[in-house]
Amino acid sequence: MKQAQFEKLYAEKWHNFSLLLEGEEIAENQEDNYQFISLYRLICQHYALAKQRHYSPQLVKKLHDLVITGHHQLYAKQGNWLSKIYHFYAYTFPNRFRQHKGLFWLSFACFTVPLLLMGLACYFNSEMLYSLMSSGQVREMESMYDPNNPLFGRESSRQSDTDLMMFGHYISNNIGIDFRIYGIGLFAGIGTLFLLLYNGLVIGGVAGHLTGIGFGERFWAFVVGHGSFELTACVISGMAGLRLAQSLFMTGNYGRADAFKIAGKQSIELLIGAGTMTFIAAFIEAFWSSSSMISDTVKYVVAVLLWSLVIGYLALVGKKSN
Amino acid sequence: MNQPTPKIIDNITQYPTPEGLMLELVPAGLMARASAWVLDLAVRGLILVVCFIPLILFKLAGVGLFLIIMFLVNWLYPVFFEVWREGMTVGKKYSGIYVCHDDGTPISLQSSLVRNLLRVVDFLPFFYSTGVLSILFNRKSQRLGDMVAGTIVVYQEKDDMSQIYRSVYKLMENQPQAKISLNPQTHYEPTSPLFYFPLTLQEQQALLSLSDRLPFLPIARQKEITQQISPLVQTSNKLAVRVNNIDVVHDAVLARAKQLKGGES
Repeated sequence: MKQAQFEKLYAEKWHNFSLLLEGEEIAENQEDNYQFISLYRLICQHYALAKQRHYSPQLVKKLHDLVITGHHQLYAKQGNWLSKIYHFYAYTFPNRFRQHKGLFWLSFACFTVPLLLMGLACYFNSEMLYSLMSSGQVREMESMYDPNNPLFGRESSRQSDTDLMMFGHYISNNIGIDFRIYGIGLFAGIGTLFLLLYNGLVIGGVAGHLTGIGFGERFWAFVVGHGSFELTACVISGMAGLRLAQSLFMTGNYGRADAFKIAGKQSIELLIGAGTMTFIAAFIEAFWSSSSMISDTVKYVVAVLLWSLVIGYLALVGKKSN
Repeated sequence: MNQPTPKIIDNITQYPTPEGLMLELVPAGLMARASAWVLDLAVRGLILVVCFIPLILFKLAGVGLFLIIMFLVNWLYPVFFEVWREGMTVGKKYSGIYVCHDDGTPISLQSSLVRNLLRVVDFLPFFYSTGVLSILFNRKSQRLGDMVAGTIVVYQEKDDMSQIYRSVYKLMENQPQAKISLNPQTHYEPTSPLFYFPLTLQEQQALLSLSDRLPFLPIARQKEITQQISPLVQTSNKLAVRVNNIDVVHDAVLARAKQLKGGES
């Protein structure tokens, strides 16, 4: 068949298909509910024919473009946004978390062991913290939780201003840390392990130091609430980073490139969950933990609730498959 | 599959679709991506400046909001554009490239997040050196983030060829056309080997390509081009003698092209 004949024969189909691609209705055949699919297959065939018969590059290209655009529409991921979000938090994330329990405990150990050791060391030896932080930073930290400092927490006059500023700071800083812990995991996980270790040391050191010099009351009441979401999220970010690293060494039944892709999909789910948790933590930290009008007892009660919420969510939610 | 395998120099990746076709994607090279990145950097800077000026009026609360905006712009600016603007950030659109999955489907939120959060790694140890090396040594021009996300940055196909011709030649479609003699017998005897398509694939395509482009070319240009490919119609002795006559060559080439395409329509 000559090209001109071919074009004449099918030009209408191609035109109809391009109309469908732009989202317009075509009147051709109303009973056929699968117009798009059947036209798409037909055009795939035409493209193959045009190529095989060596028709002009322009025609081949035109058909190729139709095929590519059709391919995009046919294989695009679809679905309702809200139900997707719900499905993610109610099912995907907690299940993914439980699927990689081993990585969680590894990440947990790398974070918690240095935290506890450094905490104890700093509790008994108030000089210890200076090995990690400069004296300026330590002084700043001490003044923040000094019981004799009346400016702790909100000032009643401009409270919402400060809260909002700190909210922004916590978000950009803490979620940024999560993202870095994750990304650096691609280099065999060394970066992730280092960051977990370092964060554990600093957090443990500060906690131990402040408790040791008697500022503990204020400090613990401040951190215990949002710590539930923040620290867990930090460990989960580490877990996501380690998942990337895992695919480098343990590829399973896949080639390394495919193992990477699978790890990428799974780890980003963990990280989205961790990022959300850090966001919640920032909210609690800015508007609840910092409030000086709420008594410490209430804060501790709420903290117990928050911790059980986090643990319960990760351990139980989404166990029934749907 | 008797697909012609692309030459290495062509830098084309192929993906077989369930319909039995080979989709061809042309990965974007380093310079296109770098210029897109630089432009995006400028756009991001602009967004921040524009947001900063009114927010500074709100003092501390404004600073808080600004920090949030800065976080979003720094980490999620490319994600937003890639997922909701068909794989193109502002810079990518300007460079004529877009990002999709390596099977040619539109990029998903997760993949976009992976490839953009892993910029941290591609940046190391300084100024995207890991990413640059990875792009240069990867056949699909992927940086590490692309490999993990299973994405690929490709050139956008310009879908309207006539638009390109118009923009190149600044001509309208209804140019006066040369009169083509439609009787191939004038120049070919059925005994001539040319009559049975002995042209190589490339030669056929050159002729076909020409016949598709004719409506966009002025006659002077048509004659100039047909002279270049006159060897394709020169087997008949009669023609070889008169090859210096441009009009004859022009007619012969056009007739040949018409014949190849099946011109009677």
